[in-house]
Formats: sequence, structure tokens, C-alpha cells
Amino acid sequence: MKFVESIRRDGISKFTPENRWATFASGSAGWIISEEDFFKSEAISMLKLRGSYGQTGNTNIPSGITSDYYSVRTSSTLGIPSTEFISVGNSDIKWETTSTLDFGVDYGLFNNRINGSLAYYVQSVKDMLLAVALPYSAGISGGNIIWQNVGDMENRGVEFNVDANILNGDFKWDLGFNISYNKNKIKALDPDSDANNVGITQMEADEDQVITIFKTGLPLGNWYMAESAGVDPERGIPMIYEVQVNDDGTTSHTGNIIPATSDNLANNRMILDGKTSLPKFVGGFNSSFAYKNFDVAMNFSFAAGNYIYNRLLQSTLTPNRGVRALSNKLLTEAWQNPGDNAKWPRVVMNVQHYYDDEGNATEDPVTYGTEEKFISSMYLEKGDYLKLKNLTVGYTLPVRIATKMKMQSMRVALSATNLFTLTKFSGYDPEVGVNQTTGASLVSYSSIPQARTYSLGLNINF
Amino acid sequence: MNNIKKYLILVFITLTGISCDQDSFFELERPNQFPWSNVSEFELGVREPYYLQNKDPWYHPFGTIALKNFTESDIAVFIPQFVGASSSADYYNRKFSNAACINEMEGAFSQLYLMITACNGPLQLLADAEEAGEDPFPSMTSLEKDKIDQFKGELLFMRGLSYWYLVRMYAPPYNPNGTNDGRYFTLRREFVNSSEELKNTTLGSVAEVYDAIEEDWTEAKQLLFEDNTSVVNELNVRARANKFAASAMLMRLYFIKGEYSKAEAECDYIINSGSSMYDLTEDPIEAFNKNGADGWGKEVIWQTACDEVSGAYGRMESIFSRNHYARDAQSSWSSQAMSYSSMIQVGWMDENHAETEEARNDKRYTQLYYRYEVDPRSDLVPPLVWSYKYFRAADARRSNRPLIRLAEVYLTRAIIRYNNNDKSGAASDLNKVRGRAGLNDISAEDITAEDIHNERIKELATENGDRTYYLIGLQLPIGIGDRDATKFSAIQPPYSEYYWQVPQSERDQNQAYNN
Repeated sequence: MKFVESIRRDGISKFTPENRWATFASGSAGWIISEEDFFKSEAISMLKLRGSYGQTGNTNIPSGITSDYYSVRTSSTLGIPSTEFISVGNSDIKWETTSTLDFGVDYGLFNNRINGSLAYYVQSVKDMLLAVALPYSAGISGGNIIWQNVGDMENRGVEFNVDANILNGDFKWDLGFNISYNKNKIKALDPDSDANNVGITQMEADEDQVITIFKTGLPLGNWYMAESAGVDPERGIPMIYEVQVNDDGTTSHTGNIIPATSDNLANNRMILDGKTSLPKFVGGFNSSFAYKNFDVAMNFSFAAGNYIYNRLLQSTLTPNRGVRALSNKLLTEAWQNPGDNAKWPRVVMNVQHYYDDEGNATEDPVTYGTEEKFISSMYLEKGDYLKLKNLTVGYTLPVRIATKMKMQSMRVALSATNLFTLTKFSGYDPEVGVNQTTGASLVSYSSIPQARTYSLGLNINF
Repeated sequence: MNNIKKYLILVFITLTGISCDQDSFFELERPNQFPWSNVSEFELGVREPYYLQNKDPWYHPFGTIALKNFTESDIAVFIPQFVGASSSADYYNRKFSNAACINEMEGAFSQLYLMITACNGPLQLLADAEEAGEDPFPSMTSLEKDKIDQFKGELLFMRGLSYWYLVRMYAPPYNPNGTNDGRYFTLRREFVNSSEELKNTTLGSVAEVYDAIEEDWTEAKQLLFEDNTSVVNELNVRARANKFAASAMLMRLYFIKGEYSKAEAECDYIINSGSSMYDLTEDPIEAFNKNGADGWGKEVIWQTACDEVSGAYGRMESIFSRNHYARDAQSSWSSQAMSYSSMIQVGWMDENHAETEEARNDKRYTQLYYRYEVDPRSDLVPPLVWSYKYFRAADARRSNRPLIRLAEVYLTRAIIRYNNNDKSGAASDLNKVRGRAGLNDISAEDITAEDIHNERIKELATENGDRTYYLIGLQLPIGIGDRDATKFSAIQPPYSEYYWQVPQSERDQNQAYNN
């Protein structure tokens, strides 16, 4: 049995002297049961119980956020210089501390030909750092945000991995698999944000629309928007669920379905239950084969349980100003005649239909949201995917032939990345980053998918 | 080996010495303080609200209020084929608070609060110094003290202007017979930098906002110089407010509140005391065809500073005028022209929409309006008269835009005098404007209120959203113009539905709206 303990004290100049220093403790213990005298097993070659506790500090924030910040606009952007107010400071900002407690088992079977681990962790994040959105009326030229320690969060999860050396003769086969499950929850927000059950609503910097909510009891960055109820078959207009806000701040359906006009979209926004951009499951598996001088290796990754807002799909299905490309789905999947059970609404210019908030016919056009604002979950898609990240096929020249050619060795390998992705997500690539501020994954016309690459390699040693 | 030991001991002692006092190693004194340490640096803070006012190509506030108010008025007609990047259809259809606050209405709201914060910062520095009984900067010369007066006046002027735009777009018009106690948006006149105050603001009532504007402009008028040439570091000095600019804004404020005698006093002051600086001796075009520091028309009291070298020059006037921002030609997104009813009313079209002799004799018509018999973009568009006031300088996109002209002051005083039964005074003012346009005088015996109303349409259409401002100031109905009479009716005083919602995200993020 082994114990390791450490304690450290870190200081960082990003914070004011009062909040600069923090002490972080960590310790771990492990017991290799399989080395004990009493342990006798043919099959189990290694068994270790382990546990650890560790604290780390997150300082992943910009410098200079403890005080207000101005900069001078230069003459390259303005004929006359002036001073721009860039950001508002928060002198109370302090370390975000993550404390992780985990318990696990490491194992090896059949002379460690199969080995891996299983672990459970609880991660508590205290004084979570977040760039909190401020209203337009804050009037901060560099962006209406302020960095704050907004509250506490908890992650709980399980991690499992196994590697196996299945065949070890002329034909060699190794297989590995890993999966982790994570669930997070906001434990507390600062009293200001928790007042009136309002929470913190965040918006994308370039979108100017509230899309996620941070609230006690919810997962981080829960999607917050009107919930789509599809397309009305008779009128071809997009519909949403009518929403009521309950006394405890939760939102629920009233049972009515109403047109997705801008007003209705704004007034019927919903905390979409448990839907966030953070996957619940992530993992991968890899496999490598070798037969004589040939070898093949592949590496898959997957993620599941997350949602992505497909702004690109919305944009290409929304004929209006500024659109430069439209989707052919408008021709095949959009509503055309009464009775159509269509996936997308009737094709109109500028998202304007001739039905009012209650669904009554009107003579004047009524705006049903816009491309950028007043959105619904019509374009919120599941981000589950399985992707072949890497495939390599190689051939190594037999040593005797190589020697004849005056080489020590020669290997030819063809490898490809991102060969295929199995997903129902309709965008280019479901592997999308999560915005640190909003906790949201969003793809737009400017989101570049990961490249598929092919490479042929020749490796010669003399 | 001994040497290595020595070095190691030396390093150890050094590290011990440093690490004993870690805090002072890291220490940076950083109390919150403003970035201006002398008077000339302070001027950079004064320039910022001007820059912001002009900055955004599609959302600058003076363009937004002009676009919105002109399109909502009775003197504009909307050509739906050419709907550009704007909410023009909603303005024309008078959706007001029922429409989603997007495009210009959202962008201008955001821009106006940037301007307010840009004023509140430097004003706070001055207020803090005053409270401490000190000069804002050490060892100031008397010229620098003059400059500080001018700068403070400019900051107050620009803050008042920001709230003026806000209150005219996002709150119902001031009701002279009402309480004006509705609260629509944040009123903040101090520099605030705590998240609690920024997230949970105080919404000012309409009356409080008007009082704040009046207070700012009154003090600005006291502080500003009549001729600011010696106290501002600017080639385009008419782009910086002076005492007459503050007086003209007070004139507008009093007029829209129905305090006509106060408005008239401001007119008197500008016309009498400003006579050496401003007159109506030049052709109408001269106020509109200048670039940057080229100069200014003789009637220009205040104009924008289009000194931009980047792409951030205003473009939105293209939507409601003839010119594309980059060239002297029809813009592809021009969608609002002068309504037929207004053109017939002022005598620039006959009943068959043909051009009249009266129009051809009017210098404004020939210089600042443009009639297309056939629209170059589509022969489906009927003959129309377009405003031709924008992007008229040699470098079209960087044309200065006059924001206050002397002609307006004369016309405001003309209607006030007329309503006070001073017909000869009214005729005298009206004829100053008519004479400059090459028209004959109207005698004191013949003058009517309609003559003054019509002259104002011809003189000021599309500028600052003047038409609705003027009708509200006189508590007259805002007619329907060319709109379908079966669907629209005139907006009657007190115009209580005539305002736009603040943007949704302001409502989401500002807890004052949830309380």
C-alpha cells in the first residue's frame, strides 16, 4: 500500500493581492492487492485499488480583468484618435478551485494481456469563473460582459477503459476501448443571479441572441429557446409549444401549440430539459492488426448525448437578405400544399407569413423570428456521432530484402484521417467545440469542418 | 565541483531572498482609475462619443432615427421590391411596439448606450475632482481650464443627445398634458462598473429622461464656447458641439415638449448671436457636399465628423435616398422615396404626378431631390421624387452630414411666431428660407400655417426624422400619406402607442425588467 501527499500554494498576478494566493492539497493512496501473499489467482495477474483527492486552480481567464480597461483607437481605424472603453473590471475575482475525488480499480488479466481500469469521480468546482453577459445598457464598447465567480458546479462520472492483446502469433490483434460518462449540475449561483429564479442567460457574441441559461439545479449551459412543434400541415407555418413559467422558475408546456411568430418565440422560451452541448458519453476504440509484414491500425471516437445549434442549416433554409446559398431541401422537404406533413415551413422571403400570433390569417406579413434572433429548437440537432478518426495500412519490407537493397528497413504506409462519420447531425461535422462563455455548440457558415486527409509515407533507414 | 557548490548556494540564497516577499514581487498597484492624465489626453475621451455616434455603418443612431421616423411619417412611400437590409416594411406599416426590435432598432440601442458610457466615464472624472475640491488635472493653464469647460459641455451635449435619440425611439412621445411616468429604458448618469448595478438598473420615466436631457443641454450651453476653434483640437470643428449646437438641441427639446416660448428664445439666441457664424447666403447643396475637414456650409451649426479611413462610415441613408453610399447613382437598396401626397401638398407634383414649374424653380428641388421618370432598377417602379441629400461630396461615402442647420431654426421660429399671431415675424422667418431657395416672398397678410408646414417638408425632409418630430411638437395628427386608408388611420396625439420596444436581450439581461 502506498500513500502520496502534496500541498502547494500558487499565486498569479491576474488577481488582486487579496485573492492572489491559494493553497491546493492533493493526496492519493493505492493498494496492489495482487502483490499480497494472500492473493492467488491464475486469471487475475494485476489488481489495484486506488483513490485520490486533488485540488487544482483554474486561471483560464484573460489578464487585466480586475480593473476597468481603456485603449486608444488608432488612426488606422479612425481619422482622429479616441479612447475606447474595453472592459469593466471585477476586483473581487478569485481562483476557481476544482476538487476531484476519485476511486478506481486497475486490473490486468491473463498475464496482463487484458488490462484497463474502472473509475468513479466526483469533481466539485467552486467559484466557477464565467464571462457573464451584461445588458446592452452596460454600454461597454469592448463587449458587454464581466468576469465573475458565479457559483459552484459538480461533475460526476464513470470512466472505463480496456486494452487487450487478443492474438499474438503470425496474426497479431490488439484492441482497446474507452468510455466515460459525465453528468454536471450547477449547485449554486451567486445570490444575485439566483434571485427570482432568473439565472444567468448567455448569448453568442456574434449572434446577439440568448441561447443558454445557467441556473441552480440545471446542467451547465442548458439550451434556452422556444421548443419547436414542427410545421402546421394546413398553413405551412412553423409552430412552437406554448410555455408557462412556474413559481419555482421552471418552464413547462401549457398543452397548446402556437405559431412561431417573433413575439411568441420571445415569450415562450423554455429551458430545454437536460439538453446541453456537453456530451454525456465520450469515448473511442482502436484496433490494430498485423500479419507478417502487413499492418492495419484504426482509431474510432464517439460522443453522445449533446445538442448542437445548426445555424448553417437555418441560414440555408431561410431565404432573406444576405443569404448567399440556399439548401435544396427547400425544394423537396418544405411545405407546399395544405395537408403536407413537411419538415420545413412554407418557403417565404424574410421569414414572413400571413398568420398572426394566434394563427389567424392576416393581410399584412407577420415576422416569424429572423435568421439571427428569436429562434426555436427547429434547428437544434442531436450531436451523437461515431467517427473513424484514423486508419493506417502499412507494409514493412522483409529485412533480408531491405539488407540486399542496402537499407536497414523500409516501411510504406497509407493513412487517412476522418474517413467517415456516422451521425444524424445534418451539418458537415458534429465534432464542434463548446463556447467557454455560453457553454454552447453552434455551427454557422464560418464553421470549418475537420479536414479529411490522405497521406502516403515511405520510411527508409540506412 | 567546489565551484558548482558555491553557485548552488548562491542561487539558493537568492531564491530565498526573493521568495520571502512574494507579494511585492507580483505587486502591481492597480486601483481603478481613468486613463486620462492631462487635458489633451482627456480630449481623446471627449472624441469617443462622436466616434461612436458615427461608427456603425448600418446602425448609427442619427441615421436610424432619420430612417425610422421618415419611413413612419406621412411624407414617405415604401417601394417593397427594394427592401434592403432594414426593418423598413415594419416602419412603413407602423408596427411600432408590436414588431420585433431587430436590425437598426437593436443596433442603435446598443450604440447609444456605448455613447452614454463613453460620456459618463470622463464626466465622472470631472465630478470626482469637483467633489474633492481639486482641478481635474494638476497645474492647468487658463487655456486648459477653458478646454475643460468646453469638453465637459461636449460630453453633456452628447449624453443628452444619446438620451434624446433613445426617448424618441423607445418611449412614447412626451405628452404635455400627461404624467409621462412610463419607464422604458435605463437612465444612468454616473459611471457604473459593478455587475450588480449593470445587471439591475434604474429605468427612468419619460419625464425623468426629458428632465435629464434638459439639464445636460442647459449646462452644456453654459459651458460650451460659441466659437470653439481655439479650444478643440480638430480640423473639422463644426463636428464638435458649440454653444449654438446646445442651444439648437434645447430648441428642439422645448418645441417637442410644447414649451414654445422657451424654444423661441433659443431660436432668437442662435439667429441673433450666431449671425456672424451662420447665414443662409449659400445654395442649399453647400451644406451637403463637403468631405472631412474641407469645411462646412455657412448654415451648418453641427455636422457629423466623417473622417473615417476605415469602412466604418454610415451607409444607411442609402435606404431612404437616391444615392448609393459609394457613388452618385441610384442605390440598389433605396426603398423609401417622397410620398405622392406630400409632393402634391408642397406643389412639386400635379395631380397626375407630373413635375411642376414650382418644383423646377426651387433650388432645393433641383439640388437636394432627384426625380426618376423611370427607375433605373425596374420599370415597374413609378416616377418618384427621392431625397438626394446624402453622399454628395467628392468622396461620396465620407460626406459630412449636417445634423443642425440654420434653416430649421428659422422655420421653427416661424411656426411659433405664427401661432402667437406674429404673422409678420413668421413671414420674415419663412421668407429667409424661401429666398435662399430662389422663391418669392409670402406676405404677412397671406401667410398660413400650411405654408410653414410645407416649407418645412421641402427644407428638412429625411433629416433627423424631422417630419414626425414637427407634428408631435405641434400636437398634430401624423397622417397616413400614401398608405391604404382602409387599413391605416392618422396617429393622433398623444401618440401613446408610437414607440418601439427595447431589444429582447436587454429585457433578458437587465433584471429591472423582471422586477
